[in-house]
Amino acid sequence: METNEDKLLKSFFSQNKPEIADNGFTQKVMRRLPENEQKTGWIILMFTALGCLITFALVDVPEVISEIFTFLLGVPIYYLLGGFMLIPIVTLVVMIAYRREYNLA
Amino acid sequence: MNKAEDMLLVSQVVIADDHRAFDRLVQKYQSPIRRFLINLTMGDTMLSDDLAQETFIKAYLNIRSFQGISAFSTWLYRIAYNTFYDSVRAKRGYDDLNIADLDKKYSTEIEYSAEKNDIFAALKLLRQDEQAAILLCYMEDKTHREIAKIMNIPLGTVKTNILKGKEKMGKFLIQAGYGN
Repeated sequence: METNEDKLLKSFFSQNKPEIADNGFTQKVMRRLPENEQKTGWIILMFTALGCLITFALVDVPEVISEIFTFLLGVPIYYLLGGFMLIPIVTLVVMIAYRREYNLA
Repeated sequence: MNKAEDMLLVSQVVIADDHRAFDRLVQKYQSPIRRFLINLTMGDTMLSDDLAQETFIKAYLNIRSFQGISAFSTWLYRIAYNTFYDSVRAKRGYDDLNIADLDKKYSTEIEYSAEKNDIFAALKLLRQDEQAAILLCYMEDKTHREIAKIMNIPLGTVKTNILKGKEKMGKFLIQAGYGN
């Protein structure tokens, strides 16, 4: 139940509730943030691309792909389905482990 | 911007380290967080802005620990509240904290309107936990449950703090002529 004091305080604070202009505050915060980790991502990208190029140069890619398909066709369908059904379980386990690592608050 | 949009922006920051998404969150919440800290520091805009910057940087660094159970703003207020009290503890021992001394130390020469002076004068009558509870309840429109999460205290304690704070402030405001 709202008392007279509640009404008084609500009215007082609502009359004295200023919206504070940004005035460059957001920019200051953004400048102080640590560097974006993805700026170093090009190193990983470069080595991955290099690895792919070497692989394509050394391996007969169409033959490898056809062998993979031949192998998959030889695997019983239940094994394949079982493999796919494991994906959500593995994802869940990884997510739980990840959350435990970063659960700071 | 609603809670779903906040969650979308948070997930963009978590997954892609998207600075533009975090920029939007800062823009949205800078005003309430700075206002809350200005009132806690009794009008010291320099100190409160430093604390607000620290709050957003801590939020960015720990954003992966935000689980989305409470609203993003509640989580942000909690960081702001902890940042303020960390700064107070860093200046002095927590146990021998003296509000009057803190006020002298933190107050600046900035001039305020009569109403603002009345806010600070009224808040000074309260204990620190009462100040925070009253500000969150009446200024920032937070529910008692949200206040309990922000201040990390039991719901009953929040209610007691608000009740006591309300009585003290109510008397002061009536004497100052606001009840008419």
